[in-house]
Amino acid sequence: MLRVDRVCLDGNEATAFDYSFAPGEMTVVLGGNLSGKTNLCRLLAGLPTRACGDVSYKEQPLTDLPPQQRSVAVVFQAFVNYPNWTVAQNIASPLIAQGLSREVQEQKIRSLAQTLGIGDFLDRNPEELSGGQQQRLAIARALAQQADVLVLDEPLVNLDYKLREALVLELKALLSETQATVIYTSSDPRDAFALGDQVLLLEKNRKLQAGTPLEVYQQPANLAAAHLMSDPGVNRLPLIKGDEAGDCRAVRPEHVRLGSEAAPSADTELDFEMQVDSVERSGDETFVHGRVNATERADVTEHWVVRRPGMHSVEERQVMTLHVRRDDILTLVVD
Amino acid sequence: MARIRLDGVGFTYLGADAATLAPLSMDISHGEAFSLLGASGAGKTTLLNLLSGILQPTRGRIYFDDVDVTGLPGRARHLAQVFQFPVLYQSMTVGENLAFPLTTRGLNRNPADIALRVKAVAEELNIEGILNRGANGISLFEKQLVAIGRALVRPDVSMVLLDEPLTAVEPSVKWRLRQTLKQAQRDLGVTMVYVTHDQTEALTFAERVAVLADGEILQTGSPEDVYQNPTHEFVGHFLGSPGMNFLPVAELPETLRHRLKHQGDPERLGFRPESAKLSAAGAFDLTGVVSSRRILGTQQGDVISMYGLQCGDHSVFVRSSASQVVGDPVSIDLRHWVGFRNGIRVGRHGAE
Repeated sequence: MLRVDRVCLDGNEATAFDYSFAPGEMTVVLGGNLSGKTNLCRLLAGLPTRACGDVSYKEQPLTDLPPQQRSVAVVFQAFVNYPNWTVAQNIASPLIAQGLSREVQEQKIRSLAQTLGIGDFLDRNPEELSGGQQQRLAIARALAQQADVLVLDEPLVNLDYKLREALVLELKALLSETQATVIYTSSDPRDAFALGDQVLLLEKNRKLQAGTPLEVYQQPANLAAAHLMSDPGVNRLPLIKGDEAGDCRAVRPEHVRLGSEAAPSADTELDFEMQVDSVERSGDETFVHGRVNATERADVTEHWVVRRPGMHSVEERQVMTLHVRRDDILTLVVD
Repeated sequence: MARIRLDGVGFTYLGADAATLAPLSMDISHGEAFSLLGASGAGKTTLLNLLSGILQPTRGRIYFDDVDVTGLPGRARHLAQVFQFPVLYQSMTVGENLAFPLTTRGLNRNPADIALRVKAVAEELNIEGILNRGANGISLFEKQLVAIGRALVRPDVSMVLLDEPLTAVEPSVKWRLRQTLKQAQRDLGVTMVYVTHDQTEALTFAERVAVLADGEILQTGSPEDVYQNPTHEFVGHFLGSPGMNFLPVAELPETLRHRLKHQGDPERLGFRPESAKLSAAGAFDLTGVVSSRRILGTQQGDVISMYGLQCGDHSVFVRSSASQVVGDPVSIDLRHWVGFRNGIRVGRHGAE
C-alpha cells in the first residue's frame, strides 16, 4: 500500500496529514488551483518540491530514493515525449530498461499503442500527432513502465471537451485492468464520480476529506468539502435555532426544485422565494441563478443556483418559488 | 455595435487542395450573443482570424453593418478580443489597464471622460474595488475580468471576439465569470462572438449557436434547437455529455421499425441519454445489458446514474434513477428520438 505520513504540501507543519492510497484502485485527488495537488504528485514521484513528509510503498520507505529508483510513473498536464524519437521508440524507452527481449518489447509496444488508439502512428514523431494523441502516447509510456504507482496530474485538462470525455471513459476501462495504484488529480467533481474508487479532497494544502465519491457527496465533512464536490458550488442557508451542531446549512444546486415542476409535499419540504437573475441552458441541464431570501431579515439575500435536468423555460427577473427536501439540507461546520 | 454579415466567405490556404473553411454565410445581429462551437481543427480559429482581419478570405465578403470590411485590416474594424489567457500590462494598475484603449487611439478624450467610462465598466464587472491595485497582484479570475473590461471600454467597439475565455479559469469561478460576462453583454448591448470547443459554455452563453465541423457550419440555431433537434448526427453526438446515442434501424425490434417507416424511414435512430427510460427486462421492445454504471449524484434521495448498455453490437448511455448492476438485462423505452439517413435528419418523434 502507498502511504504518505505527516505530509506538508506547502512545507508548513500546520497542514500535515496522513493518507493511504487504496492498493490497485484509483484515487481522484480533487482540488482547485494552489490546493497542493501537483506538490503531492511531485512528492510521490520524488521530484523537487516544497512538499515534505514520508512516502512509503508496502511499508518500504521511498522518501530518500531518487525518482528513477521508485516504481512510480508520472504523466503531467503538459505532456512530455521524446521529440526526436518515433512513437514506437517513445513507448520502448521504459521497456529497454526492463531488459526485455526484442520480440517481447515489440509485442508490448504494439499492444499498448493499440489499446491507446495510436497503433497506426508507430513510425511518426510526436509532433506529427494531435494533442490528444500526444497525451495518449505519454500515457502509453507511463503504462509501459509497469510501475506499481501511476500518477496522472490533470492529464486531460489541455484537451478538447469531447476528446476528454472519450478519454475519461477509455482510461477508466484501461486502468481497471492494471494492478497499479492510480492517483489522478482534477479540479472537476465529475472526474471524481467518473474515475474515482476513492476521492481525496484538498484545499490550500490541507486534506478536507477522503472517502468514496458517494460518501463525500452525501456526507461532506465541512462547507469547503461540500463546495469542492459541487459544480456549481452549494447554496448557503442560515443556521436555524435549535439546529444540530454546525455553523451553517447548505443545499446542492441539483437538490432544489422549481415551483413549476411539482407541488411541494408540506411536511418534508421547505419553500423559498427566488428573485431570478438569469437562466442558462446547456441542453441536458438548466441552471437558474438568482437571489434567495432565506432568513427573516428582508435585506439579507444569498446567491443561489438551481440545477435541473432537461430544458426548462424560466422567465428572468421574476420571483419564483423553490422547493427543497429537508433531507437534502446539509448542516455543516465552516472549517 | 455592429451587425456582422458573412456572405459566402471561404478560405483556402495557398497551394492547398481542400478549403480550410467551406464558403459560408451567416448573420449575427446587432447586440447578439453568438457562439461558434467546434472541436480543434474544425475551422474555428480560421473563422475567428477572418473576422478579426488577420486573414483575408479567399472568397466572399464580410460586412460590419453595411460597410464592406473584407479588405480592411484589424485595426480599422474596431473590434476587441479576449483570449484564453488574460493579456495585461503588468506594471500598470487595473484602472490604467482599463483606461489604456481610450488613451492610445488618438480619441483626444479628456481625463474626466476617461475616468467616468472606466468607472462605469468597472462597476458593470464588479471590479471597482480593485482599480488601484497592480495588475500583477490580482487573481487569474480578476485578470480575466480586467481583460474583458478592456475589450468593453471603448464605446465605439464593433464587436467583442472571445476565444476560449474561460479555459484557464478554474470551475468554481467559471460560473461567476460567465454570469458577469453575460450581464455585461446584455446591459451594454454588445455584439459578442464566443469561440469554444466546450458545448456547455457555447450553449449557456449564446442566444444562437453555430456548430462547426471540418470547415463547415452544420447547424445554426437556439441552444434548445441544436440540442433537441440536431440536423446532423455529428451535432447530436457533439452536444450533450455523453452525446446522442445511435442505433441502426435494421437491428431494432420489428414493432419499432414498423413505426419508423412512417417517420421519415431513417437508417439510424438517435436518442439522448435522458430521453430513454430503463426498467427491468421485458417491459419494452428494445433491450440491452448493463455494461457500466457511473454515479452522477442524488435526486429526491435516489442515486442517479449514467448506465452504459450493450444493445447487440452497439453501446448506448441512459441516465436513470433505476438501481441496476453490471450484467443486468434491461428494457429501454424511448420517449424522444431523431431519425437520420446518411447522417442527416429525416424525422423526429416525441414531446419536448
